[in-house]
Amino acid sequence: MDLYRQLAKHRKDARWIIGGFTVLLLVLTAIYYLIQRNRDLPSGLVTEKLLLFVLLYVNVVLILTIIFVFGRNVFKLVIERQHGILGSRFKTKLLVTFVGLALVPVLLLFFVASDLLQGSIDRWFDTDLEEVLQQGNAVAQSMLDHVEQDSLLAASLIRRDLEEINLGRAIQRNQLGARLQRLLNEYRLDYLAIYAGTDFLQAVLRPDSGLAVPPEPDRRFLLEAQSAGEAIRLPPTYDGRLLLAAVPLTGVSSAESPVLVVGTTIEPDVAAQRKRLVETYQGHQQLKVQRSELLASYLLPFLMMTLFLILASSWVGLYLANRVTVPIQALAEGTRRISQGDLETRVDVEAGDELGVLVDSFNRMTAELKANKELLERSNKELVATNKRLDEERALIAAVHESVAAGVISVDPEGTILTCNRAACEMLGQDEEALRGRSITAAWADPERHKLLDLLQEAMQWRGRVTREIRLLLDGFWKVFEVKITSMRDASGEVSGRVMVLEELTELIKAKQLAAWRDAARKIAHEIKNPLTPIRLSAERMLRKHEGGGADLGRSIEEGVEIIKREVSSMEVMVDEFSRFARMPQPQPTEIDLGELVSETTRLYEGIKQGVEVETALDPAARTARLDGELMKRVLINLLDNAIEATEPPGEVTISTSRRDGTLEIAVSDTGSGIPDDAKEKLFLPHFSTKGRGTGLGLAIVHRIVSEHHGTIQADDNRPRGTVFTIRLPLE
Amino acid sequence: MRRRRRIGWSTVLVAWLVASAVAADEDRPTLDHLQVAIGNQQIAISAELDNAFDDELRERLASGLPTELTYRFALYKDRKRWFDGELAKSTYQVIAMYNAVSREYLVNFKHDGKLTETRVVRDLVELERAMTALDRVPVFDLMDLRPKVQNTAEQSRLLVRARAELGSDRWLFVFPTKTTTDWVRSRKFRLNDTP
Repeated sequence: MDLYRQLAKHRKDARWIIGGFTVLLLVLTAIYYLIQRNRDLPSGLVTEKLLLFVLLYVNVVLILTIIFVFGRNVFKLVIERQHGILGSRFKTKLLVTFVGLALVPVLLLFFVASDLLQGSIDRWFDTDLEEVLQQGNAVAQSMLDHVEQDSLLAASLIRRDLEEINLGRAIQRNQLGARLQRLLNEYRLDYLAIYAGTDFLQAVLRPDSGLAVPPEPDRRFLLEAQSAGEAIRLPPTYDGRLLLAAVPLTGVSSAESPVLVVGTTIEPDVAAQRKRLVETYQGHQQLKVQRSELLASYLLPFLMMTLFLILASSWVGLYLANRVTVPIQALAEGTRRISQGDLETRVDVEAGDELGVLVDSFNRMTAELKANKELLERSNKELVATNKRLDEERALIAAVHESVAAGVISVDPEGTILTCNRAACEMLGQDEEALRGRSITAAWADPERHKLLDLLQEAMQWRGRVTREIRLLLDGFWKVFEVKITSMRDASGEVSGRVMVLEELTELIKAKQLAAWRDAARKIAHEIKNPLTPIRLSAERMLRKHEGGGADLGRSIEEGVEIIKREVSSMEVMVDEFSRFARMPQPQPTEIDLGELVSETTRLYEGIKQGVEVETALDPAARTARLDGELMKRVLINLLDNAIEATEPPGEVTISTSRRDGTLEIAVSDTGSGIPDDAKEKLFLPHFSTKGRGTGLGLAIVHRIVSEHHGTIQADDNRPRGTVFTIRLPLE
Repeated sequence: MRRRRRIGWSTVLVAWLVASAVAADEDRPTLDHLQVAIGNQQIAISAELDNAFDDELRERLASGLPTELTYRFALYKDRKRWFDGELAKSTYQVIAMYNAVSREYLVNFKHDGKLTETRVVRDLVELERAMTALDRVPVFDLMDLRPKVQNTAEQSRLLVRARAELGSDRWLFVFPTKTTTDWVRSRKFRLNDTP
């Protein structure tokens, strides 16, 4: 495995690639050299077996290598495509393109070159040339045929001449030499010999024949002549210059079969020319026979070069295809793994170009994804914990929400009731289902509950905190609520709704009223008791004076009566006040000029207290209103009385009016000493006074008149000092 | 319709292939009359190679190039229920070369690479006979063979397979191919059979 990795590593090493190309170049150079050498070879060496063998087997090895490389890669591609491996189709296209681009021109070149070669070799065997050579050869052979025929004819004639000879007789044998000499001269032969069987018997040689010694025909030649009746030979040692013809001497008496050998020499020049003609023709014929070998010897280097180029180009194609597709496959595989959630995936492919950048980016992206996922998981855990905590808190809040005595209702900016606790439902006499999720206009459509809607709308318009006391007739019972409306804000500070807190004051007010009435009764009793004491004391003094019979009885009676009258008068005033409070008429609203009313009232106080100015600030939009003018004048007088009295010179009392979203506001402010907070709560109770004198019914009457107008009044601190009473009256 | 047409074309193609094969087979060289003779501690072979001298061979001979006919022999032990067991191999080469100057054919005979005979013939007919007619050519030496097959050869039935190689050619100008006859089998014999 390590070895494989090392090899794979080397395979990607640029040095190995350069080395491979260098070797390829060397091989191609060697092939070129071989081709060049082949061109210079003489035709006889074209068939050099070793060269052909080497070329042939190099080609075979190359073809096998190409088949192996292609087969392996095609097999791999088929398997990859069958298994649907990503990138296999792209790789196939790339491979086909590369190999096709390389294969087509190389093969085209090879076939064109082959055709040219074949044509060139075919031209060697031009019919004209061949005919010339053939004719030359025919002439040469014909010349030899004539010599052969002449020799055989001469041999036949000589044989006839020698028929009567008996070689067994010595005398005839001795005469044989002279006879042969005669025949040699007669037939113009160069050599004449007689063999007994295969044994030399007698021979004559013409001196000018050019033969230094008599030729020695081989035994087979003689035997052939005996068996076949004639034999012809061109002894190789004479290089075609001597022709021997042999015939058996059938008519000659001999113990062994005698053979006559006739030798004819050919002129050396003629023999040489004949030899050249014959050999040239034969060489031509050899080339012709070896045409396919010849063609192969030229084609094989071309084929080898072609195969080398195909192999190199295919390999380069495969290499480039792999260079492109392997990173893509790795990226696709990595993407698939990431899609399956494996963020540990890293593409471990070496690529130096844009693909390398892509791989690096992919790995960085994966790392970031992993980091983000971890962060997300951490955040999720924190979120879950937070949610859990929030759920707990929400449950706690809900529990608190449900268990608090105050009614709590939350409304979104569109006026839909979001929450409503049990206390609120009980206070308003509505089910939670009738409230939650419903619009306030629908939930509070009835006139009484509509007041809550008005308040809420006011709060929405005001965008501030609103606190009101409100009386509602619910299910036939008057109920008094203190309603506090505040805004809910989200994290960005935007108003996300309103919270309405209802606190039922009915029982509290009843209790307060009871206490107030008790206090009032105590005070009334005290007030009644106060005049009674001087009345009783005056009555007792008058009785004592009467019993004592004093001289000053009359004066005492006068003084006593005066005191009693004064005290009774005081009691009457007090009783009248209560009577008026008790007999407060129902308001009769009419359209009045509010400015006029304010001006008329303030005129009463002009210069009433030195150093205290009475100012007005009237809103033209609040010029008119539908109110009971008399009652409202009484309200203003009471408030102005108190304000002027509370303001020490230099000071200022201001009455202002304004109109705000269907509500009329009348504010009376002073720059006096102000009212303590604990006293503010009791200000509007009957017979409560901070002045230490008076009946303490003024503000109670004011409160009652405002309430009768369905309005509210509240006392707040004036800035920078003093008190401001604000009356809010609905305009509709 | 298409199927019928396809069958028709297929039939024509098969018929053409068969006819071509038969025609080619008629002209193919064959090794005939393979006979085995045992004597003088030798197994001698007689055979005749037919259809060997075609125009191509004659042209080659006439060109003066060495022209070789190689006869390959293999001696087998006959097995009835299994493949025959090879006992020995032998090669007999006949190489002819024409000398156009002297107008002679020099014929060399080699047995297992060793020159056994040289003959000079002037006639093509004689040359053909010399090259294609094997007459009791000693191929296997029983003295050499006996140690290998001492126990079995004398009792077992033997046979000789022979084939002639007429030369080589090139397929697609590149791949060398041999022109050969089919392997032929001799009759089965025993070493102790009388000749």
